[in-house]
Amino acid sequence: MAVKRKVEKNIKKVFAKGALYHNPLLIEAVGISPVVAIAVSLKTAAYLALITMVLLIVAETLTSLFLKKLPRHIRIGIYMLIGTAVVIPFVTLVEATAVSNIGLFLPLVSVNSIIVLHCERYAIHRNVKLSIADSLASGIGYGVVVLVVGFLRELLGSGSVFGVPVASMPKSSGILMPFGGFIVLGFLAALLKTLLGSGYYKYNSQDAFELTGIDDLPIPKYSAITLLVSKLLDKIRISKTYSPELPKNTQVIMDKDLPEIEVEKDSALKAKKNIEIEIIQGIETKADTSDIKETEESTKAETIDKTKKDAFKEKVKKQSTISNHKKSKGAASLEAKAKAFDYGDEFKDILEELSAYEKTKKGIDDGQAVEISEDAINPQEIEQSGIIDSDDQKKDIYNMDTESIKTGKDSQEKGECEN
Amino acid sequence: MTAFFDMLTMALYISLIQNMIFTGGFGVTESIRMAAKPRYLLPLALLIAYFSVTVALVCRSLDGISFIKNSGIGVHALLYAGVLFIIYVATCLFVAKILKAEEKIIRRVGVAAFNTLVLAIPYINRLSAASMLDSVGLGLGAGFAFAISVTLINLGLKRINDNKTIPEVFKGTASIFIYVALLSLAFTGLSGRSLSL
Repeated sequence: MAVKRKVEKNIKKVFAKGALYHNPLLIEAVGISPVVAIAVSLKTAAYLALITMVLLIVAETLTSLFLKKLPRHIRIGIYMLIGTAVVIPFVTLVEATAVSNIGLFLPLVSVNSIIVLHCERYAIHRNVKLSIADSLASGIGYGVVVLVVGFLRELLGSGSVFGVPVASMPKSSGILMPFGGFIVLGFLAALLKTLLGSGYYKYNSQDAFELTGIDDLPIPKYSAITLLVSKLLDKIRISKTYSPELPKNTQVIMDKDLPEIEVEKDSALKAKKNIEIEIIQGIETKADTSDIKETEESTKAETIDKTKKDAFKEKVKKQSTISNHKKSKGAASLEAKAKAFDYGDEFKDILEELSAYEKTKKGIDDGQAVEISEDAINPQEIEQSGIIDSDDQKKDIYNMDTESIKTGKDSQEKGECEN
Repeated sequence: MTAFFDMLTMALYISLIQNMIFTGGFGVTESIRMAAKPRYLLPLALLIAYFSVTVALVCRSLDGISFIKNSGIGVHALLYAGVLFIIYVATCLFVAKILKAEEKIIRRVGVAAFNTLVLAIPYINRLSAASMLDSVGLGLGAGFAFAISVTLINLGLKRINDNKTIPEVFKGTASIFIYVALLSLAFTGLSGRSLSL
C-alpha cells in the first residue's frame, strides 16, 4: 500500500514537471524549429502536436524497454530512425490532404531535439510506466503551447480560426513568419512563469534550460601572428619569460631562478580572518645562509657587510620581482606562472592582506616583538641597511611573502629577530 | 570559375542574407542552447558544415535516379534519414577508432548530425532544384550560419542576463525568444520579404 502511494506520487510529480514546470517549449526551449515554421494555423498546429505526442510516447517507451544498455552515440542515431518510422505515415497522410507549408518541415520532426532530451534524461533512467507518464506529460505540455501559438498566429495573421474567417479582424502577415512565432513564444513563456509564480522555483530546475551564466565566445586571446612571433623569440633566446605587461624596471628571470613557493591552504584560509600567515617558501639562494643569520641577529645599529648587502640586494630584487610577477596579470610565461603563481583565489586574498601589512608594520612601530622565521627578510633591517633606494622597492619589501610573522613582546624586548 | 563563385554566393546568401536559422527556424534550438555555453562552437559548426555537405552531395546524387525522383515525400524522408544515419555511423567509427577521440567529442558528432539544420539541406536542394555545387554551397553556408547565429545570440544573452531592468517574468527563455525574434525580423528584412498587410 505504501509503495503504491509512492509510485502515484511520483507520477503526479512527473506530470506536473513534464507539462508545466519543465515545459519543453517555454522553459526547456526545445523543439522550437517546427513550431515557428509549421504552427501558423490551428490545423497545422494540431498536426504537429499530435505527431510530437505520438513520437514522444513511442520513443520513450522503446528507449526505456530496449535501449538502456546501448552506448549513447548509437542511441541517438536510433532515435532518429524511430522518429522517421513514426513520421512517415503522417507525412503521407498530410501529402494526401494537401496541407500547405507543412510538407518540408514535417519530416524534420524526426530529428526534433525534444525526443533526444527526454529519452536521454528521463527514459534511460526510469521504468516504462514513468517514461510513458513523462512522454504524455511533455506531449501535452508541448501540444497545448503549439495549439495556442497556432491559434494566435492564425487569428492575427490570417484573420481566421481553423480556416473560418473571423469578421472585422485586422491581419498582420508578419506574424506568420518565424519571427512572429518567436514573439508569441516569448510572451507565452512570460505568461507561464507568471502563472506558476513561486511554484516555478519549487521543483529542481537542473533539467530546465536556465540562464545561470553565459560563457564567453571561444575567441583566441592572442592572434596567430603574436603566437608565432613569441615562438620565434623563444627560439633565438631573447627571453623565455618575456611579458609585455611587466613594468620596465622589472628584472627578467629565467625559469630556473624562479622559486617554488607553496601555500598551505589551511593557513591561507585562516589568514583571511587572522593576520597570522604561514607561507612556506623554498628559495634557492647562493648566499650563505649562516652569514645572513648572523646579520639578522645583529642589532639595528650594526652595519651590514658589503657581501651581505649584496646578498640582501639580490634577495630583495628576487622578492620584488616575484611580487611584481604576481601582481601582473599577464605573467611572463605560462610555465613560470604555473610554477610560482597558480594559487587561485586564496592566494590572491593573502597577497591583498600582505599588501596592506598593517598589523606587522604596526607591531614594529609599537615596539612589539616580531618573529621572523628562516629565510625571511626583516623589512626594517633592509630599509636601514641602505640597500633599497626607491619607495617602490620599500613598498615591495613590505608586500613580500614572508614566513610566519607573529607578534610577541618578548622577542622585541630582547632586540632579536628570530629566524 | 563561375561555378565556384555560384557556390560561394549560395553559401554567403544562406548564412548572411537569408540566415537559415533566423529566417527559417532551422536548428534554432541548438543555436540557443549553444549560445549559453559556446565552448565547442567552432568544432560543432565545422561538423554541421561537414554533415550538411556530405548529406547534400549524396542525396543530390540519389535524387538523380528516376525511381527516387518521381516518388513521394515519404520515400524521400526515408532516404534522407537513412543517408544521414549511415554518414553519422561512418563518421563516429572514424572519429572513435581511427582518430581515437574522447567521449565528449563523439557526443558532439551526434549533436551536429541530428539537427533540423542538417536534415533540411537535402529538402531545400530538392525543392530549389539546386546543382551539385549549389548543394555544397548550401552545406557550407549552413555551418557558417550556425556560427553566426550562435555568436549573435551569445552577445545578446550576456547583456540580457546582466540587465537588471528586465522584469523577473521575462528573464530566461522569454527574453531569449524575444531577442531571437528581433534578430529574425532583422534578417527577414535583409532577405527582402515584404511585411505589408
